[in-house]
Amino acid sequence: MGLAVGFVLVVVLAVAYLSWTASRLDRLHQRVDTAGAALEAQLVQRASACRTLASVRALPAPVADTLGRRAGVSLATAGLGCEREAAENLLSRQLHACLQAAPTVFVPGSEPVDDLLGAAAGVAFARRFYNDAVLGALDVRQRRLPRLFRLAGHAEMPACFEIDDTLPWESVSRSAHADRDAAPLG
Amino acid sequence: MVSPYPWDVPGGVVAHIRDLAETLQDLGHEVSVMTPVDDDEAPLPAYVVRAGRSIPVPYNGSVARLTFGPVSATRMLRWLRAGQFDVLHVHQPETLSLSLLAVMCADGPIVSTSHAHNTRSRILSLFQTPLQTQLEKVQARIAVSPAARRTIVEHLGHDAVLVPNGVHVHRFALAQPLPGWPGEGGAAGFIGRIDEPRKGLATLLDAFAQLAVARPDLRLLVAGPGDPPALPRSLRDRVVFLGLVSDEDKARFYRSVDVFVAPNTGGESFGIVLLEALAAGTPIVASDLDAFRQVLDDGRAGVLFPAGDPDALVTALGSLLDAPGERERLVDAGRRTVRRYDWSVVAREVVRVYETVIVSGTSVGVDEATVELWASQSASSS
Repeated sequence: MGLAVGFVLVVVLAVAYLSWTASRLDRLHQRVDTAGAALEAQLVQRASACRTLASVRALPAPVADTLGRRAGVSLATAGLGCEREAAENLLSRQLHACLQAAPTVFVPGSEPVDDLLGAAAGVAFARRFYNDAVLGALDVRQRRLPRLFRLAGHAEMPACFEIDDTLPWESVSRSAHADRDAAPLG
Repeated sequence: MVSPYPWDVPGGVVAHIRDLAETLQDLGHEVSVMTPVDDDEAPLPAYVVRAGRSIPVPYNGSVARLTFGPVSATRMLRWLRAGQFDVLHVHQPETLSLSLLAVMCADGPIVSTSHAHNTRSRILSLFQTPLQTQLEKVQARIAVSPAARRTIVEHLGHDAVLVPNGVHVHRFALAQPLPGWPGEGGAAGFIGRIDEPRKGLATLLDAFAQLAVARPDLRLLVAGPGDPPALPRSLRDRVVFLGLVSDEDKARFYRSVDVFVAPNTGGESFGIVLLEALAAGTPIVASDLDAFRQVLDDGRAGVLFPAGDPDALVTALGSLLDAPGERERLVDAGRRTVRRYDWSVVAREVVRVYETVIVSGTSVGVDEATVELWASQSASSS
């Protein structure tokens, strides 16, 4: 009798744990989806800002043309798969090339440049939040019980998004913001 | 925004929340701050909402104050429902606090900021798994310093972006020195809890006693709460204790000395006092803690000395007092350094973080699972 009660208790606890983990996983996947959507939105902003910058003739023609073309490729690629990583990496590399070719263009103050600096910083933030969400979900998914009971259901296995989003001009942008704000003080 | 600490008890995190909230409002955003308030009579700005008093709980040898119960939860849910916020920003949610309660009650875009570099709490460890899963609802984490970020990564296994503390540069830059200061003979300054050993006043007094011998008119100005230590007779009228100062007098304090000294021996995760001194245009001598090194651009915006070494401080402080040209150079470098910490710059970065978690068409709601749990708890207890 005692054994039977014990057995039932174990089963009840196990079911409670599994359903709790399943709902936790569900929430983690939702967070990955939200963070992924946010990252895509930031990538689109960055690519649009690149395309605008390429079209205003502030940059030397050869680097500007390549920048515009690569921004176009990035805008035409959906999702966060390998293809997108490759497109965004090429765009990042071209941005670095532009910065080297014409560093003075990247001094903040004009609209296309400010948009680009903001969007590039947004990509770096969003990518970190997205990868954090992915790792959180993977951590729970890869444990033994959730795998055994397929608690993740049909949700796709999320993957980190790895691109070069370093901002060589970050210090420029920050102090320039401050210059503008501090101007009345002399 | 949610504060874990009482609004009417002065502290770094509360000041950060107040300054951020007010700067965001200046930038045209709507802000509401939910916070514990200990004094029912305390006057509050219009954007502050009371969550109730904090309750003292004996913990870890001292007393922790918590605001974490049914009354606060009811107010929190009402605030969340009424607010329809685009984003919920909680501060220091890693400990059992109003901030953690907010995370439990809310559903939607949540951002957190971690201030301390050691947030591991034994109370939290007890409930590690269930509470940590609540923190998984936070979509974006901000750390104010690399040390704070390291704590999040190591103890909680999450990542965070760096957005530093801010300072209202102009408030310090334009303050008037206190009457009679700094004076002809030179003056050094210290700010912080006098009786907190890690603030390092003992190191500074030791060094000052040595410097005072050869400099008959050198004075030391000390601001901060606590009982002044006993001093040798020769120093008594050369060390002036201001006690706890108002925000306005704090700004004037920095402008009243020739050199600001931060002799801390540890326990600092950021070093807001350095930002304030930089903003005031006061040259700095600081101990070489990681956090200080970071703010002072590795020594370019201030002189660093080995923490806890009074003899090294004598050399550093003495040579800086003797070199007006060098002081001017440091002030110039400091003004450039502090610009990126001005609240107008820092708040814009926080907004950028908000933008990455806000999904169009949604707002912060209440977590129905928590509401149900709460309802069943109160039903069974009544």
